Amino acid sequence: MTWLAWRQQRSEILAATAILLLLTAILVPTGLGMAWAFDRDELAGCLGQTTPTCLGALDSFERRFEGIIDATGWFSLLPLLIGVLFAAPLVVELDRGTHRLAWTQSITRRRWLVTKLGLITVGATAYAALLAGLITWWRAPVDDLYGRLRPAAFQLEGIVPIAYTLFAVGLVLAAGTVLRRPVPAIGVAAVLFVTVRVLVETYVRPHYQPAVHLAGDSADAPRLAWMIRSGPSTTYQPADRFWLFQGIETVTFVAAAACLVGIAVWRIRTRSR
Amino acid sequence: MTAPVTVTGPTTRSAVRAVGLGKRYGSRWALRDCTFDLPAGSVTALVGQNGAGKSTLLHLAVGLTEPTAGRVEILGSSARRQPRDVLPRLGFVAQDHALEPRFRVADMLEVGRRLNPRWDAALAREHLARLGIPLGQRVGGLSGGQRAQVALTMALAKRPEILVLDEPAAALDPLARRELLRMLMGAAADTGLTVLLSSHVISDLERVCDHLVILAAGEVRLTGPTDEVVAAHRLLSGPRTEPTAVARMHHVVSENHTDRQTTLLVRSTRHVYDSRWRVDEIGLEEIVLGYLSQTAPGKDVTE
Repeated sequence: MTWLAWRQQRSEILAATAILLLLTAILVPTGLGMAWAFDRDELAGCLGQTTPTCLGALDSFERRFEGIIDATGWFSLLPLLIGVLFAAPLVVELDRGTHRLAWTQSITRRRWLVTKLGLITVGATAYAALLAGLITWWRAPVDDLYGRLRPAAFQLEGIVPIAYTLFAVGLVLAAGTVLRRPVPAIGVAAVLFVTVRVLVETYVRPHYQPAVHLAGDSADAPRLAWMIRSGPSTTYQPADRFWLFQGIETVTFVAAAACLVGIAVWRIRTRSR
Repeated sequence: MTAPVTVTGPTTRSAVRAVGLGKRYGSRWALRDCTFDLPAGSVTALVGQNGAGKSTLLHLAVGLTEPTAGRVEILGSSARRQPRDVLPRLGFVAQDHALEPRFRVADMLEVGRRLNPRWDAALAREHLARLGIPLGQRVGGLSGGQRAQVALTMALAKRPEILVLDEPAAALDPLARRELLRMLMGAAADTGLTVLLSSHVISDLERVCDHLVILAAGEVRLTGPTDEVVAAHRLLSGPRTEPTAVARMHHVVSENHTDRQTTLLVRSTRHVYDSRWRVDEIGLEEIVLGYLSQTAPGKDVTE
């Protein structure tokens, strides 16, 4: 059954591999260049300094890599892409009715489902972990300068990309088994994915821990903190809460993914046609 | 009084048994109160118009669908609840063949080999070679008839005890259809294979099938061995009348009126005393058509 599951997903897994290789080909040279420039200009010593030399060096680093750093913002959609690549084949199979082929061979439906979901979740997790590791490495100099609790960094690094990917898998499977049509299901899943991500980032994540309040403006906040509100009074989350927040966000999205996969399993098990 | 004596011949094992089987989609019953028993080794035609519930019945039998009411057993077990007992002994060909279009024919055979304990790879290759279907071809690039043959090959290579085919002839040209039926008949005779196949045409099944299940509007209208079905029906033709007198003595299945003439399909072996009626034997195909054109549902069982 593992062979059949792999053979049925082969094209999509190859596509995911191609994307991973392409990003590696882009990120490794640019990442090495960025780390080299960071070391050459001795930016590590400049962190938190306001001497003219340091400000100049920071400014030139920023100008040089601004474009590609901004471009990596789009990587926040990679979990959705990987989720679709791994989960959509099962939705297509159920839509085309080819699952009936496996269901009338000599294996039980449970084994079929466990193998399918196993390949989808393990594969999606592995590819998401590779990408997240690559991007986290690539962004290390940028994080030293700007911090990694800010949403632009937080969403691409550590372990949350894996949780987002599983969430996307769950959305595609649940939408696919409820709507029964692959294309609308992927559309609905994409819209829900972006909506939930934005809502969590805006309204939920700032409250994972009580924020710290300051009477002064943001210049008084510690370096690399995530500024939630600045102005006459400032609210921020300290940078050392990065892994705590990563953990909370990961558990939240993995739990949501588990519920969505549960819906899909229930829909598949009670399928009547 | 003494208890009635039942004389039983050699006991026939049941291959497919449905008891009060029903399936509802929303508020509509696709199949209702369906009861029949097909012996092992029989070749049964499940006949009915499109939408009569044939596919629903077959999907219930092979365990793809959960019944809303009643139960259905294949070789004594439920394909849904005891898949390990049933699935290895069952070959099923879906109406749309349910093959992976992206796979090559050889990949399909590999699927069969890996998912079935008694897969006969030699039989599969031989069968496809005889039909000239190349193993390297993608399933999506095959003709409808070739896909049907690949699906059938996969079912046969499981070395099943029972073969369930949903409209197997639909995608085949007349020659291939005849070839298929001849092969099924041969397999049934040689190996005791039980065959249950659905069709909306009966013409070429008549020579092949020894049992019949007629389905109309989700209900079983008639079931029984074909020779008994044929023996139990008569065609009466006579001057145009309302068949009230006949209906008192004989079960009228369907009636047909022209300006001058009335033709009745009756299920009865009793003598027709009214000499105005001409009594004729009637073929299986016309019997089936008579039941399918029946407006008032009534379940009849010929044992």
